[in-house]
Amino acid sequence: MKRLPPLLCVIWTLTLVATTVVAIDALRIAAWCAIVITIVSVITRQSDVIRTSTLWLFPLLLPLIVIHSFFNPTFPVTSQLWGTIPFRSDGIVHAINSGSKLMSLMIAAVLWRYVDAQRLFNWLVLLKCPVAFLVMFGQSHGMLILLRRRAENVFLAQRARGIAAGPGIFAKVRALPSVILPVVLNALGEADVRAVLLASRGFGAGVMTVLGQPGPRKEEMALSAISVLGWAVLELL
Amino acid sequence: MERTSYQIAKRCALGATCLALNVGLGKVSNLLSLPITFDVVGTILASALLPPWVALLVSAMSSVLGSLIIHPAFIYYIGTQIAVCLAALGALRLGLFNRPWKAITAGVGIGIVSAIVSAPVTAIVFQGVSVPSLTALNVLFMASGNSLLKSVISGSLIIESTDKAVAGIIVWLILKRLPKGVATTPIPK
Repeated sequence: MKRLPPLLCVIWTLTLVATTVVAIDALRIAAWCAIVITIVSVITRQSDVIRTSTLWLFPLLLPLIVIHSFFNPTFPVTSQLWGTIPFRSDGIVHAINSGSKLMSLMIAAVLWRYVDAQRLFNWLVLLKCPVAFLVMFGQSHGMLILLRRRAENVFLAQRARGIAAGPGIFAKVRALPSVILPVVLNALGEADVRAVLLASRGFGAGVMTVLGQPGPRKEEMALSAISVLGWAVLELL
Repeated sequence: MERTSYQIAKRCALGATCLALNVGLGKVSNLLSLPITFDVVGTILASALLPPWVALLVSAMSSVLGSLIIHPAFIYYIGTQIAVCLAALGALRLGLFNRPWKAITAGVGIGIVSAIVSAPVTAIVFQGVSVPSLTALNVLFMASGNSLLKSVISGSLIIESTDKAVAGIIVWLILKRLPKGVATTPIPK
């Protein structure tokens, strides 16, 4: 899979967020989202971005429609479904408009899952972003996988020792400290080992530099300019 | 090895751990099928173990990491994480994490702060849709004639104060069992 250049991610994020503020109707928002998703799919050479956005949007979209079409008292009741359930047609329009804005915000966040992390890191170092901040973020990403795996192992081990994790909410709450404490205390204890390793590798000893000057390429600059222009034309139409 | 570089590295490693705890502890509630998110345990621990500015950084970064790993909605609650961190720092200064009942009180207080800060985001950006338990409560309040914002605030107060009270007691348990020398700043008694 090809990764997205950081410059394009920044430009598309800004336009997607701005769309939610300036767009007049849901159609324009949907159109811009479709354009961005298509370009991202072409660049990354896979349709995973569409699947991820849909998976993240639908759990929000369905309750949104239900809340505003049936329950939000701000909108007047226009008809009764099966003679009993109040239905608000203005509510469904509002839900669709809000849903399109949410879709735009979701895609803006999804883009960053496909960013070229190495180039982003280099850019941030060149932009004088504190290295401690970058290392902390990178380390936490790595630790997360370890933490989840450890939680599973501790859970299985405690069950094997006879600590009941159910049935019933009280049994689960009682079992909670026996699972959560070993995971957290172990992770906090390991921080010291990680610190020694980081310091021995020269972390914090001097100013960090990156080899080469990885500036944006010409085609990325051109695509960014076309994106901003295209977005402006779509909003002005 | 210089002591200063080790100290920077220690803060960094501990901050990364707290950050990972904020995002990764949801796995424990998934395993136990509990309706608790544990998304602030790392923030409260960072407030106790790290200098305030690092704790604030950890709280803000956990929203970014959560939005990349779990769901993009996390990024819009960055203000909630920062508010929780400030409330936790205040609670620690008052020594509210040295007794279980005090920790529960601190948790409830943090939950109230969290609800007040997150409710406008849920109401304005997400139009009342949030985690399933909170969405169900919002619907219940709206069905009884309350406005969207009022329903979200009421629902958030109930869910957040319960959730954070559990987080408070867990943090107390962790701080009680924590080996000496883990914290980079003295934990207030």
